[in-house]
Amino acid sequence: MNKAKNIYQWFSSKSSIAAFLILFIFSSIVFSGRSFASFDSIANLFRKAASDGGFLALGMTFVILIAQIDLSVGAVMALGGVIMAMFGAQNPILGIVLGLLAGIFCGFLNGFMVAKMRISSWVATLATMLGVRGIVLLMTNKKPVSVSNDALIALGNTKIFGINILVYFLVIATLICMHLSHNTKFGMGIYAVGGNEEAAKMMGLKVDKIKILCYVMCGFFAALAGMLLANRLYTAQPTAGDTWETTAIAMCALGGIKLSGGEGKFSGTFFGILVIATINTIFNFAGNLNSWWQNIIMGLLVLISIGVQSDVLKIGKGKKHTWKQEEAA
Amino acid sequence: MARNKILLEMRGIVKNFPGVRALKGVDFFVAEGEVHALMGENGAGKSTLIKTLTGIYQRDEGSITFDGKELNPKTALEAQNAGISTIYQELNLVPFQTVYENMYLGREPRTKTGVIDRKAMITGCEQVLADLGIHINVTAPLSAYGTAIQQMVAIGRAISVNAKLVIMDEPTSSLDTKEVRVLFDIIKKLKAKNIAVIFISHRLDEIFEICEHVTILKDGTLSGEVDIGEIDQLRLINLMIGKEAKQLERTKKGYTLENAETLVEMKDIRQGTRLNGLGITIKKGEVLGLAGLLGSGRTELSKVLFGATQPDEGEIFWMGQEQKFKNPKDAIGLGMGFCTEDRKVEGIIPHLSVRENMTIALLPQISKMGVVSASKQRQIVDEYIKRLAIKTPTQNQPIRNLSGGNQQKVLLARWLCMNPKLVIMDEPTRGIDVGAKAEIEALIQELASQGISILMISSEIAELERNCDRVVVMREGRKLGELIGDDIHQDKVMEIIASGGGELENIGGAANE
Amino acid sequence: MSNTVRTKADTVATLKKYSAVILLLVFLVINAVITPNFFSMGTVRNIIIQSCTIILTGMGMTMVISTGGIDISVGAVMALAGIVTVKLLPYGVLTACIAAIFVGALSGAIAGFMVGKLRVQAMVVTLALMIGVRGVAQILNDAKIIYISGDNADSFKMLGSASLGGIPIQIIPIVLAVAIVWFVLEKTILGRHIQAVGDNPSSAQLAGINSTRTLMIVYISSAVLAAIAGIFATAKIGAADGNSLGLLSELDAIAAVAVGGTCMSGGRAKIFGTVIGALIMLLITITVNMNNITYEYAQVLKAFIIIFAVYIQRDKAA
Repeated sequence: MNKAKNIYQWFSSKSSIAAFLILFIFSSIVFSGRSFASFDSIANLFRKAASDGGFLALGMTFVILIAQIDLSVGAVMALGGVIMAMFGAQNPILGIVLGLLAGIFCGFLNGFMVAKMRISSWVATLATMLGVRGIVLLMTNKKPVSVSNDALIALGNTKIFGINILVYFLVIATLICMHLSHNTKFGMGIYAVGGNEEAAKMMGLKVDKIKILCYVMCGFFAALAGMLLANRLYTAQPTAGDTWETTAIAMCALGGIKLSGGEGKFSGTFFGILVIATINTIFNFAGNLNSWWQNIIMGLLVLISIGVQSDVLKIGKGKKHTWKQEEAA
Repeated sequence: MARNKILLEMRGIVKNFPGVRALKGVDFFVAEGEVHALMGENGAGKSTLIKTLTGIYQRDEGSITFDGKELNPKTALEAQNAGISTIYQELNLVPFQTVYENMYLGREPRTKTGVIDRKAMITGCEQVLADLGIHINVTAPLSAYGTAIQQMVAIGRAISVNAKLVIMDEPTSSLDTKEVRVLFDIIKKLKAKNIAVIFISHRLDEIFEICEHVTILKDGTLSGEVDIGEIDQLRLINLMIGKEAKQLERTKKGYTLENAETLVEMKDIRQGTRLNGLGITIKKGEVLGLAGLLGSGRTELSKVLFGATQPDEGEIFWMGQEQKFKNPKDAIGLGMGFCTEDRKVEGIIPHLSVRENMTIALLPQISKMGVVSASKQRQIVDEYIKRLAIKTPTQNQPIRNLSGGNQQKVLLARWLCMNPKLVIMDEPTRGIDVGAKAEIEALIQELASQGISILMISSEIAELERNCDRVVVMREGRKLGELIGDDIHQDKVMEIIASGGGELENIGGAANE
Repeated sequence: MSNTVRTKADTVATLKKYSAVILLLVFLVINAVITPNFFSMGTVRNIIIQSCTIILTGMGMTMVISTGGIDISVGAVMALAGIVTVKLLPYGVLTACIAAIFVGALSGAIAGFMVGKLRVQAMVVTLALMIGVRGVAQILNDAKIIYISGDNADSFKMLGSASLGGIPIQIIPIVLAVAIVWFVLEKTILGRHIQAVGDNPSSAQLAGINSTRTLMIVYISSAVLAAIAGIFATAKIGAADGNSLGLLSELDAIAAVAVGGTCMSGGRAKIFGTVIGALIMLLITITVNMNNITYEYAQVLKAFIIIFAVYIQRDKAA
């Protein structure tokens, strides 16, 4: 019994890696004549992973781990890129710092509304999404802001050993997140709050602070994603990241981050990001195939992954009240 | 027996809730290194007393001195920091995190570089658990282990935060016999370390085995406080549930239902460790009482009958036909109703109105094509509001705004309006004032006289004595005996309960096989 | 009630109860002052045409949220319904519309089955559907915009542009949807079951309510309403666009529900609250448009209104 359970658990915890490998091997064979498994195409796959929502997914992971959601990441991403492009023309460092601060502020705002004002995270981050997107459009007059500073452009386009610098950033960011979640009090607190908020409170964790910090991390990564994308494309689009929050959530779900909170690892998210990038790459290769199949496949994969990863017949675990309420009656 | 220095001193504790005085000036003392049982039926005030101690509730009057210092905990954390740890019935740990992470959450050791020191946590955790005689893989997630181990981990956590007093709220309720032994060994080890334990349990044998001192609460007041050596089971039961001032008298005489047809028969019902093979029969128009202490399986048995849970084994016959209920809907369809013990959690639908709460199960009968006939609905609700004297400003009042007694009447009306054949009433008069109590009891008699059977569960044996035609006495999920008609008497019920001890080991063993 | 003394708490509660209405009135008054020609038939027509999608999807969302769930697939279902209708137009307008509604119902059935029977979180299921269903829509139209043409084109377009005595045809689905959903929630067994399941699932079960069936019906209804919204939107635009039709509609619907005072954790459905919430959101847009203010200010203002409305209506006890 136990053995079967262990194997099942191992498999479900590694399902994002498995999905990635299966997809990758499958497409290597299918496209063997066109060198899918070549260095260039793999490098390109990773670059896609880094520029198309990878950082958003890392940030989103913090929020989902505490059983919340952040719909504003796409808008915050655009805000980060635009602010950096505007203020970074002369002084790139100023641009970067202001861009990141904007992201952190948005995250703080979300966290404050969710933790302190007790507004549902759906509603709170939806409002932030609307508001921030509006501000970005107003700031730019709906026109793209070009990134002219060479240093900034280099930050998005330099290749090291033939691999785009964004990939290194993504790997480093993932490692930092893994470190934060695994080796710090904050990280332990995240899992405790997501796994059993009541218990976390009883154990003396500052639950509100942890929640706000998670949203701040999410805002930070969203702004970072926007800045790096703007650098890579030489321009900050005010519409950047529109609907990308969905992609980010899907990456997390594929990576085994349970949307009920408290379970999942950043390494999982990393492979979730790669799975989506692989699907994108496959559709690039299969030019004759209708590229919109990729949405269907993504949707199916998310459904399958929740099927594999979650004991679907059990909900409402954790988060129970500790005392029977009868005596208060 | 000389007691150690007093560690915890609670004096004159009063706690009021809207409409209810849950604690009416309770004194409670615990000595250092003492295993102290806190007993009482549901609603006696145990939980409220513990919550005022652990900072979940603020007391309205009284004083608490702990370890020589005045204690006014505002949060659970403050109580914990003062040295009071609580092991809850539903464990307050994080299931997906590892054992050692749970042990150290919120107070993780760190290395020189500021990173949390997992090695130290693992060895520390292993050490703490080894002291308790537990050897497990502490790097596995907590959820990989059963309730017993999880409880040990919680106790380990309590010890390692230097608790001076550990409160265990029904720690044995989900343990088997072997696990109970391990827990008792651990309690002895705590005692050896001069850590006091407040032990809350309803299993009398356990209390007599492990505890040195016992405090009994009843209706929010102190009912007794004695050394365990100075009391026997019968007297203890008496202190918990006996001696109700006789405000109401038994109305029935004799037993007149010998020839009545059988409505329900349950045979050899088993479910986990809670129900260990027992059966009951209910006749038409009979008021059958289930007597026993909390945890004796009364509620579990009635939930099986109602289809809310499914038994592992056993048969249920309804008017001679075998039934396998998948859900309450099946049972309701046959003519059953269930007034649950915990109105808040399992009874009312809080934001819906009195009208909607009363008719929620009746709707299909007063509807055409799924459309509810508002006039019929109103008429029925009006009728029952009058008949049961429900005090509510209008039918539209959300039920959560009503008093407990009136909520109960609405829930009772929910089933009565369906012309039921059997109504299960789990603690029908809990938290209800004397006047409403008499009304509900009168109603029970009225229903029975109309041929409706009642299955009545009550912790107040006097209430069963007054109302029942027959009483089945239960303990640990078994039927110990049955009293019929005028034989039903508080003292006899308590004697039967007290006589039923000692076979615990066998039951636990059997349940495991 | 004449001799009851009104306490301050009562007043606050009343204000809270009607805060969405008050907010709507405030916007109307502001418009009366600042917007030229605000009270005109043109404005009314505008409001009716533009509110069709948000009110229809909002009705479905109100039901879903009052069971304690969420449905973020409505926008995608709208897109799919639009495409299916246009594709099947040659077989007749009615056939096409029924087919589109059926396809929508299918998507809702999947969601309802997974949420109600398998007990998977509504959020994940509808997220997967949102992605997948839009994918299907995009494949069906080859990611291009299909302009409506051919046999039944003109009669279908009437669904978008016809008017009855000067009132746009969209008034029909709006009134019907609100009336039916109100009727179902207030007058039928199903309505009671929906709120009971969202309010206290264990009480509901012990009262004999089949929550799986209830949830199935709710998610199917939500998807059907979305499909109808998709049909009308497509007729209005005169083209089916799998990429952008209904994009972010689910969020508009959630915003309307939240501003209308329906509790996000379930148990209470406020149908007219949602209508008012939708109108507030729409009025902001219209105000900004009619005063030639950049639209983005409306967006920022909406953000504030959502937070403000939700915050003041929030249950203290929760």
